[in-house]
Amino acid sequence: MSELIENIIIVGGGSAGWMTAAALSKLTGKADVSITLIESEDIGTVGVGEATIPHIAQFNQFLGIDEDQFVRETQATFKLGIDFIDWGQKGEKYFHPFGTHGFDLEGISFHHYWAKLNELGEKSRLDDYSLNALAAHAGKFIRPKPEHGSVLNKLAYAFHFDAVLYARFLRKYAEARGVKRIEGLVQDVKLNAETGFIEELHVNEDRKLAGDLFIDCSGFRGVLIEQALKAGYDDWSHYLPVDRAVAVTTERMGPLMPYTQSTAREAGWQWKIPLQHRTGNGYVYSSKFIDSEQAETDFRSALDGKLLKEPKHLRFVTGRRRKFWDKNCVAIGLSAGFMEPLESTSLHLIQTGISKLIALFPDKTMPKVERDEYNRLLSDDYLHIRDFLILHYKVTRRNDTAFWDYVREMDVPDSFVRKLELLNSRGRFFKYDAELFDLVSWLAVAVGQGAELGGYNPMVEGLSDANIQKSLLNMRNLLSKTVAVMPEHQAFIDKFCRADIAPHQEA
Amino acid sequence: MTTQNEPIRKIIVVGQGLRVWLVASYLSARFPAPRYTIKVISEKNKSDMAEEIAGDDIVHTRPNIRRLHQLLQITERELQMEAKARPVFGVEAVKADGARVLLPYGGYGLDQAGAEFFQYWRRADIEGMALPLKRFNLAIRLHEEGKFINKAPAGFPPVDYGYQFSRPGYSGLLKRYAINNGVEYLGAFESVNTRQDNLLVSQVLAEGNIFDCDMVIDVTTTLNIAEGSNRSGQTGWVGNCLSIGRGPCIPEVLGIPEVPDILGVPDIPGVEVYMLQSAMDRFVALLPDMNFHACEINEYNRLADAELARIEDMADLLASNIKGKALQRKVDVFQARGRIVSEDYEVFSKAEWLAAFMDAGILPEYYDRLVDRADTTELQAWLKQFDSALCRFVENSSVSG
Ligand SMILES: Cc1cc2nc3c(=O)[nH]c(=O)nc-3n(C[C@H](O)[C@H](O)[C@H](O)COP(=O)(O)OP(=O)(O)OC[C@H]3O[C@@H](n4cnc5c(N)ncnc54)[C@H](O)[C@@H]3O)c2cc1C
Repeated sequence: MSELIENIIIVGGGSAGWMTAAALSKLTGKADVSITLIESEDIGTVGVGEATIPHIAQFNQFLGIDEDQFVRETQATFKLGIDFIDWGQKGEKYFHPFGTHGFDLEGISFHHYWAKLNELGEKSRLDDYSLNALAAHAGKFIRPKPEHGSVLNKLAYAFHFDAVLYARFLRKYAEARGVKRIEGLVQDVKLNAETGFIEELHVNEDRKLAGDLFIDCSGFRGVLIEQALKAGYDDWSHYLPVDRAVAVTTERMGPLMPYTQSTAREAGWQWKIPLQHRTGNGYVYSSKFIDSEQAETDFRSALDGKLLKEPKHLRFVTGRRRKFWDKNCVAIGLSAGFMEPLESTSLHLIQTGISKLIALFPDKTMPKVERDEYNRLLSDDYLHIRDFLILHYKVTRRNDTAFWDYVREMDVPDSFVRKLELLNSRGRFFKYDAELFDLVSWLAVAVGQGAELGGYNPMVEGLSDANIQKSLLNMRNLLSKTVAVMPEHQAFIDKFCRADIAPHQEA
Repeated sequence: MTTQNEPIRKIIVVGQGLRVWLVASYLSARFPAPRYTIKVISEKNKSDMAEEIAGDDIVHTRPNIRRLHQLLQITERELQMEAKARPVFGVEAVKADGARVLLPYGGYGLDQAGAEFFQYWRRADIEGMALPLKRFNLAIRLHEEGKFINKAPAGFPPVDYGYQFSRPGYSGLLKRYAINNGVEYLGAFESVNTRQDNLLVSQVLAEGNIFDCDMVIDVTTTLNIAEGSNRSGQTGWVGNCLSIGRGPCIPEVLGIPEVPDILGVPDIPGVEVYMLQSAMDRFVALLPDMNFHACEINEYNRLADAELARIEDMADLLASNIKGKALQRKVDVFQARGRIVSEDYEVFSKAEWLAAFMDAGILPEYYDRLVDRADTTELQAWLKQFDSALCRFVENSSVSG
């Protein structure tokens, strides 16, 4: 029994650190495992990372968090998807919704009928068949419940929240379950001369912290996984060339939108994330195509609310760690890799990292099979997501700047080519078992950015043209009627989960 | 968006007995007459039911077969009357030494607090609690007691069921449905004509008659119309020929040299029918037009290969012949801590893998650290209670029809 892990040390108190601490504290509630988290106020957190995808609800459920309380305490709003502006071409827009498009007929996916209808000359947008897209554009939201019936239940949602408040919220949770927090700077990492395992951390001038399992949540630095263990990094900036961001919070303007806005810019794209008390904004760009001064000028010119702080500049290299788990150290969060925030996948990858660590929880010997399996699963997750992100850049018709010329023309991985060919040929898509983004996402983005499907499944001919026209019209009517009876997003929040802090007040 | 490309309309299925009628009936429901024509040709020198008539063979199916029955709207009564259907909660695979192992269509126990039931059981097992694991599997208990339920109530491990049929009865039933839906039986296969330009099969000859076709689906075990040089020895889709399930081929059909050493599909009950059905699902999802695009064909083959590899992994495990990277990894990860790796496009459920591991004597050295939280006496009491609840429930369930 002496092999069991007794001491877990987490380095970092950003979203990754506190999500990990909260989850582990929930599971190891017994006194024989101690969890210590070290964070340094001098370094601080990235403080961005405010948009999520629906899987976050599973994390909350696992922790047993009350959703309304969570929304209140993190100034959160609901997210139904992402509105993409100017991506396929300037002046165009489309919505990447959570949930599904339309209803399948006769065992054939909805979108084949939609493509047939387009061919018949009755052009409609995929968005017209997405309850999420329609509700988003109408500024509506309701939490789906089984008793709502089958149509409303198609609504799928995630959150936007204040990253700093989220970390604080989870800190409270974790500390209540025995996690110890130390304020301090990890200055040195002592490795075992024989095994190369991490033995202890030297914190500030005077403190030594020994542990069995070390979780590196130290952000881009990778204080343990890279600086100490030199796990290596796969640089993906060829495919995902953005490498800088400038971010700022602004005063809230207008009604609360239940979606993230992503606008393509000259050398990257700009986000707008609505929170109850303020709006988060950022311009993610490639330093090869624009310098930071120009980027900030362009960014400021596109903001619509009063700035609440000075803009903050961030640098990163898109890619992933070669080993996420090396020796007795697991990297979770930005220390594990970063593929840019376009589809809000980072917090999800934190969550996946945690759940896989729990499933493969080691003893002190850190068995190789468990490490290998963890690394294999995580690597696949990163690859699948990377290919989906590439789609946003590769399938564009923009040719107005050198940046867009580059991404349109860049060569892309075979795994991506195979997927896109199948999709383009006739809207076909086969997901790997554990792949995050499915047909709805690939189709929304590809079609939204102007890809033309070469056809549809010939089996749609089983229904007459008139029948297809009528069925799809019925779907559109049904969905828009459903949206009409949904409450406004703001009204829903006011009723169930309005934050106490007044609007505009910074956390 | 334009589709000048003509859809395929005329499909010929070549094969024998259950294999051919299962595929033909499936297609007849998805491709209704008169827009499409589906024709059946039996194997050389045989009638379509030659091997089915006399036999009292039994055929096993996995739970997904119920989707086919739904598609065709076959009733439970017909299944019982004509095919002597008996619901089964698992299949008994026969191992090389003749011993049997039950692969259950339902899980073991219930997961708790983020850890799988099996982990709790393993801990109790290491601590000397003797109740065998299979007692916690409702599907296995129902199977052993010959009881039937449609669905497990809340608080019990989930169960699913397939059927065991009389092979001739089931073939006959599916044939009846296919014929009712407009499928025509043309007699025994003779040969094919191919188009000069692209080697696609354009006509099939049977009983002295010539039939045009857009697509051939070959479910024979003796013929392999589609056998192509680039996929020799493999099942799959080449040009406009889709062959399902491997068998020794007669390559003279396309003038391709003999391909030696072609393995059969592993003989795990239920797998034969499963593969036919899932091949048809894939085919419909990737339905080609007369241009037969390579990307669709390649995707079909990629998915089919992955499926076959997963089946072969299970067959290897049952034969205690651990080879292949994916299987080795499955074994290693399981041995470490009882976690079952799920590969892409798995065929067998986690419960079936678990049953096969246990049977092979492969046990994790240790259990998931998370279950240490449970108190020993509470754990033992919980397992005992669970066991007696299952006992009572099975006792009170009705006998399987
Ligand atoms: C521009 C941008 C936009 C993003 N948008 C999104 C989004 O919309 N959705 C999403 O899911 N994700 C997004 N992300 C990613 C998201 O911000 C991160 O995944 C998330 O915040 C987790 O960060 P982290 O905790 O790993 O790192 P950080 O927040 O950087 O935290 C690192 C922690 O480590 C501590 N630390 C570092 N070195 C030491 C040391 N030597 N000693 C002690 N402590 C140390 C720091 O004090 C800090 O507490 C975005 C990222 C960027 C850059």
